[in-house]
Amino acid sequence: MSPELLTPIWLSIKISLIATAACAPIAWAAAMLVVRRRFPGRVALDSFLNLPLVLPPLVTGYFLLVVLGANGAVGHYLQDWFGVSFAFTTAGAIIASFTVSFPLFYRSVKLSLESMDRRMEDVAATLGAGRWDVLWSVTLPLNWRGIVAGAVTTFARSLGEFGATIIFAANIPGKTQTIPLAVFNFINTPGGEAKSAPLILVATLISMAAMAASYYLAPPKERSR
Amino acid sequence: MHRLALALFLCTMAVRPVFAGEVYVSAAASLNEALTEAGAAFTKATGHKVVANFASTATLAQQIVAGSPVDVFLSANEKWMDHVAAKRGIEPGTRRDLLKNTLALVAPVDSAVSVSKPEDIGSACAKLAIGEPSSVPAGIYAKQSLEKLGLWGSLSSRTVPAQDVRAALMYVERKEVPCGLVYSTDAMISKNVKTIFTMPESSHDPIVYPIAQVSGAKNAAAAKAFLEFLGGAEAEAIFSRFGFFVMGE
Repeated sequence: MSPELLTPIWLSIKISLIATAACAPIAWAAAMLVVRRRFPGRVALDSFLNLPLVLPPLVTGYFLLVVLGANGAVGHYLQDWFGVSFAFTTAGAIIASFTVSFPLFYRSVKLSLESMDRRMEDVAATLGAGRWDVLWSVTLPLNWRGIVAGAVTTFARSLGEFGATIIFAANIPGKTQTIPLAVFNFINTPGGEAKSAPLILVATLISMAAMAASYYLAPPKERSR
Repeated sequence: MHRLALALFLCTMAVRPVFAGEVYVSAAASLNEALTEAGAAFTKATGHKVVANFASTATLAQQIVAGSPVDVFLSANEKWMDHVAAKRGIEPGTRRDLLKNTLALVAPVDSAVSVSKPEDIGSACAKLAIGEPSSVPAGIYAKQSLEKLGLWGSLSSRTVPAQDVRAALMYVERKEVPCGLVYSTDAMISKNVKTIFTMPESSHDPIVYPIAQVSGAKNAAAAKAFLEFLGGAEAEAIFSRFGFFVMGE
């Protein structure tokens, strides 16, 4: 394959993996907070975390630009104090993927936490396990399935992310031009559709591989009769 | 209930001119404001309604080739019109170049950047927003122009390729980038940017907007009337006000 095709593939994998890894601790902590604690604004927080699921990704991308852009509400401080700007960078593409796919991870973990039998944690505590011990040996193992499912959907969604990325990170070859953006270029060139076929095939294969991996990491439960 | 429905039906018949139809127009995104106004004037003059669909020329062309019900296609470049002509067909004798545009280097309205000759662009613009240079028409013209002026080599790594010309304009409006290359008509519409340099027309292919009636138009009569109207004085006045140059027959 030519670099024209390989570069977006490699970039897509890198961006999706980092976005998914970044989602994991934050989505898990947010789900724990919303499921386990009662505080004012809990429902509002839950709705806010789900927001990228409802908003058109283009709007999410514009929102990111308005907040984090070099001239944005938060972004201009980053620019002035640290000289950091996320718009039009690989980091920006990661942030776009993270934002759009975050709710998928969060929802998956939240569902799993809600359906978990909390008495197991109490039993462990009665038997003398400390807080961290309970977390590592009871909560996380029982929550594992939700985390794996969340990671896979988040990764797959990141791999297909287009709207927020092209607005916030633009379409820069080698930096922010992921598979969907490269496909967009090919499709928008007269007679270029055929060139995008290998990219679409690779994206499909990667997604299927991720699904297969999730079967190994969290095999489907045997149904009890 | 039936009588009420009949009465309503007769009312609508009474106000509608006898041969009023609907003309489905697919037009390049850069024509949004101007063509909306021209369409309203056309409806006022003839009673035919205009159903307009604005998107990137590439999207429109693919919709038309796929068989979408479109009567008139107003493209932002010749290649996509050729593509439609080859893959779906256009009515013989209806294709012509309707409008012409130019390429403007823009900066935020309060910017101190100044450019008096093309060589200044490199030093004046740390970053330059353009349409994606392989697929977006405005980006293709921008790349051509910079190449012809011998600036592409030093500037290409500093360009920010946008989804379409309006996104490039938006980056400049929001001051994410100090400069952008957009159509002069886009520069005119925005209150937040100013034109600091107009790219020489000889540096890129002519930026023309071909128009044609698509083969198999359902509303051929209305489409024909619309094409005629767009060539008339009233439409010309509207297009000129938005900064387009109207080309002769």
